[in-house]
Amino acid sequence: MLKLALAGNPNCGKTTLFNALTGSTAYVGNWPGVTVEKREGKYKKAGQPINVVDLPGIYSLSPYSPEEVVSRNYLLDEKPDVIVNILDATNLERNLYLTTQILETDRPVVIALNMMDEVERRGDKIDAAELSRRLGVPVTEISALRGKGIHELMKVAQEAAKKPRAAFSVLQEGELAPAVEAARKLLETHGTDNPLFHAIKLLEGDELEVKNHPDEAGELEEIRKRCQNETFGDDFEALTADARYKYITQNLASVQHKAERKEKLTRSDKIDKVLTSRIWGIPIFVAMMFLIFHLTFAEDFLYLNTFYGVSVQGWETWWEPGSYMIDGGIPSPGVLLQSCLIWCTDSLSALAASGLANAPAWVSSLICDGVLAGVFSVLSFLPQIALLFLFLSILEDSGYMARVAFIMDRIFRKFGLSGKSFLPLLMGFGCSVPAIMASRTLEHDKERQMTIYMTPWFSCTAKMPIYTAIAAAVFVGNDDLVVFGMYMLGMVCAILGALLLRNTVFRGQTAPFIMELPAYHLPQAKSLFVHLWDKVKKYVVRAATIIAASTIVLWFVSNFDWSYHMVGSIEDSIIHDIGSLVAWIFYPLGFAHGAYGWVFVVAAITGLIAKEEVVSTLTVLGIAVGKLAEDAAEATAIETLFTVSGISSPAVIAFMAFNLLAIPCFAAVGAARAELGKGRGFKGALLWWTASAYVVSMLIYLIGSYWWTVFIFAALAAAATALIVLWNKGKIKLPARGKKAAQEGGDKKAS
Amino acid sequence: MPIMLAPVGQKVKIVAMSLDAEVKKRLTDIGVAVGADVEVISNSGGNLVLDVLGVRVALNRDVAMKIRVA
Repeated sequence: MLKLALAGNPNCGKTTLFNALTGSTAYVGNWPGVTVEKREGKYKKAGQPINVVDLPGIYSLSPYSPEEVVSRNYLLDEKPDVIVNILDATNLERNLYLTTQILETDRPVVIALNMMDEVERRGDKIDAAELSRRLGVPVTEISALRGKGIHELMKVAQEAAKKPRAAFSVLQEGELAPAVEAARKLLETHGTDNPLFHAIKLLEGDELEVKNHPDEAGELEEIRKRCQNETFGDDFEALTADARYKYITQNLASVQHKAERKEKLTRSDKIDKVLTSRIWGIPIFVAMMFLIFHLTFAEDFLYLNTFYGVSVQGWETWWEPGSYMIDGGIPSPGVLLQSCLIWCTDSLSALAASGLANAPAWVSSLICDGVLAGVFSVLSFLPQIALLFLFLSILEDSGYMARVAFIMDRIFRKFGLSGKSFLPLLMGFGCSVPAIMASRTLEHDKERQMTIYMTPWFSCTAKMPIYTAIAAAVFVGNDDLVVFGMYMLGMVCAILGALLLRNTVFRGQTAPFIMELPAYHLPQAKSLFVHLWDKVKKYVVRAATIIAASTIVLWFVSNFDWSYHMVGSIEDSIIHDIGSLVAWIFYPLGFAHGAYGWVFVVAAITGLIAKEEVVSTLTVLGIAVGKLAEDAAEATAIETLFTVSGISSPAVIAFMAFNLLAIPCFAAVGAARAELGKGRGFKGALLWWTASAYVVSMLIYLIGSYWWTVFIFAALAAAATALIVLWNKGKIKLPARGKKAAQEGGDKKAS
Repeated sequence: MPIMLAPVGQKVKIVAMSLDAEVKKRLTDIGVAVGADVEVISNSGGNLVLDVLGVRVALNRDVAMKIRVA
């Protein structure tokens, strides 16, 4: 089968084209570095299917970050039958820089000028035929977004794949020609594949190349010395770059004719004047995030009830009493949708209960109190998750996220992270797994590792139900503030954690911030909803499989005793014994106290498998506990549980904080292991998550319960900080003790 | 002068970049190369947005201090 690789600059539309060609729904975002892995799909509209490979975006064939290595290795080692080099035609010159390098390989190449519709809209013109003549490869015009010209592109590519192509370099003309030719001959006699490409990379001093060709090093040094220049000295890399750019401006740029611009600043520039401004940038971002949370979680929309007394009477009695809505304000769209769904699932549960009235007690208990209750409790958050996800996707798709990285850079830098690590972290709001993978776009190892450590603290959509369910049960009326507060707590912990790690185990420089800011565009409804649908589907599947299965297990251990007899009271059940056995570990965190403290312990432990489990565990066990309580008729299982257990507010917050910070879930742990390897980095991550969750929750509980302990912890934190500072300055040499104190110190500050 | 101090909205030419080889390479690949004409679009406390070949590139202060323009 024909193998076709899509290569090009980041954010030039490779994945959009890939989706259009293969009918896939791979995620597209408007910032550089969305695709971090190669992706394969099939194009079926040609005579025989074509294997299309979407590669991470690259600026050159000398890679800089791990995901770029993927692209280069694919192009060189896998030898695709044809490379389709996609250019953002609105930035022709910069995009051609990569083209000059791709042409140095000996693979057939086709150039696709993408975003031609935008070029036309601006009134510019590009002479594709002339460009094709000058570069010696076919050039086609496409618009990946509108699906224009893509089938023609595939036809041209199929034709091109049949003919071998000789490698060609723009450096073969001009003053570098003798050096390039000498190096090429040298490699050719050594029998290297792609001699021209490797010759140039070796002359440029590309790290990967030099490692792979130790034999030729001496001779190349000679060749390089012969070719010095006043401006660049013996910096061959800068010399070749300059030669490439010069060639592009002198020989290629003339194929385009730009219309006169009425204004120098583009629309994006004008928007950026506000959104990235020194004073307004960050407040606008925070306000936007709050608005998103408010739209999703608030029960008193726009605080109309609080401030103006606007209220809707009786809307909450459309459906069954007992839905957790409070009286008063207009609910936000998220809450409204959620209560509709709850009404549906409640009706279904009631239907099931009446249908099973004559069945044996254990059957109706398994189905109603076990599976349905557990799965529905998880599902009921679907509308809010979908809405939150939609809002974040809109921000990503518009191009705003790249700006956020830029404005956050100033703050993040103080804590030892570059603004670039904010992008994977923000993706963490959706799901930690792709977010951890996205950390590949970071150039520095230590920064990448730290970002992975912090990613789960940007609460994913599976953690959200924990906060929402608990806030609705315990902090009635302040739901959105509590949920927002938990999200903020995660971010604050991440920032302080980064500061701590930077000064202890991950010392080193922060990577510089260099990032292309894409032009803003309106989000594409189709891609938004495809992406949203994908997310919703995954969540439902998870609820129907892993969550359903584990609720059955949980139902069993909470309804049977060790001799497999059904129990009347949960106090005799298997889970009660197991929970009580390990509860002491969590005593300092507050939530393990009391007759039902073990329930929270069990919930927190099941949460280590998947965060959705926490809510389903609380629901299933809450029902069992509720049977013991008398006044539980009206409230939901979780509300009953919190009322009956008599848990204090600081302990509730400590419980949420523990779930926020502890080991995220099996899937995220797997992703972290894939990125960090099996070694110290990965073990460190597990230790880091566990230790910080424990310490922060403990501090929340202790300080919340006994405010004066704040002085003790402040003193300890100050002492630890002093130790770290002294240690870093080399004044004291107690590495072991210093580290331990550091751990405590930072987590303390985090609370 | 360092590009940090270049007036906003005026074309300048990059004459030198005293940065690590790796950072320099990244800048060069993205278009901010020695010999390139660039324009500072915005400058907030040394953090710059540049116009390079029609592309907007954001740089932080530390980098912007080490790029000299004329």
